[in-house]
Amino acid sequence: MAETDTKKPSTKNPFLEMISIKKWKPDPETMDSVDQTLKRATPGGDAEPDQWSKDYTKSR
Amino acid sequence: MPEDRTTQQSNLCSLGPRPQIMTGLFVSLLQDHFADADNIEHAVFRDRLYVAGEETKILIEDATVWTPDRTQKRPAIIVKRNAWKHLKRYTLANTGVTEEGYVGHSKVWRGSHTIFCVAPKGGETETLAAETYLFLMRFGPVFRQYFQLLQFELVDIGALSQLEEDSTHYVVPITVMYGWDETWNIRQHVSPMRDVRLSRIFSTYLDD
Repeated sequence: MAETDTKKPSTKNPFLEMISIKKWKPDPETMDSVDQTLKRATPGGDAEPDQWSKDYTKSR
Repeated sequence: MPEDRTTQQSNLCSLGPRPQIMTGLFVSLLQDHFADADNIEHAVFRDRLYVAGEETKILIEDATVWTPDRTQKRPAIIVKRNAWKHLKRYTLANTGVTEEGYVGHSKVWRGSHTIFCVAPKGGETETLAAETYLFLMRFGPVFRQYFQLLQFELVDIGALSQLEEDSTHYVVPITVMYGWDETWNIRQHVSPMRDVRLSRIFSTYLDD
């Protein structure tokens, strides 16, 4: 019997990726995009510490 | 059904978004949607309704209690919370003065949940994903308003894939993000630092 006949066929679909619920994380680009939208849309502007320091220094 | 003109108060008001509450919210909304055939757009799921208990024809549950063998031959929706992120500050110390003169504190958050649509056949999984994402997308504005969130939005529908935990099943991940802000005041009557003493701090490092 040929060696290949004894191999079990793979249960993995060759056309599809495998996803693990355990390891899965949301797409970082998508999340970064929604983060930027939410930052811009909420009041108070983007008062990041670096920018705040620059503005504060400039005002003095 | 008469129009509801009363002000709708969210049950989240008293507690605010918390991990378990948000997961429970998604699970409850989806269980309610799939429990009534009149809600369901895709005919294939009208006779596979959700009922509480093991006899349900579609499993809808939190990822923390799900195991692949529980799915069996039925479709399943598994809800998993992703990491939450503190997004921005209004001031450097996240503070401002309230109308009453107290120092108010505030943080803006972004969170997300992924809803995994799982079924034994690829086509069935795609249909389950369509039924699920259309429900979340169309009613998203209602959920956002009712739960007093800044944002509630369907942001990602992943490709059809095989499930690594059970390769006899297919899966489509659907991600929903939401944003909210938490504000609070601290009214100090006694200093919370009153019992912090150097001797107590350094006692850890003292040689016997």
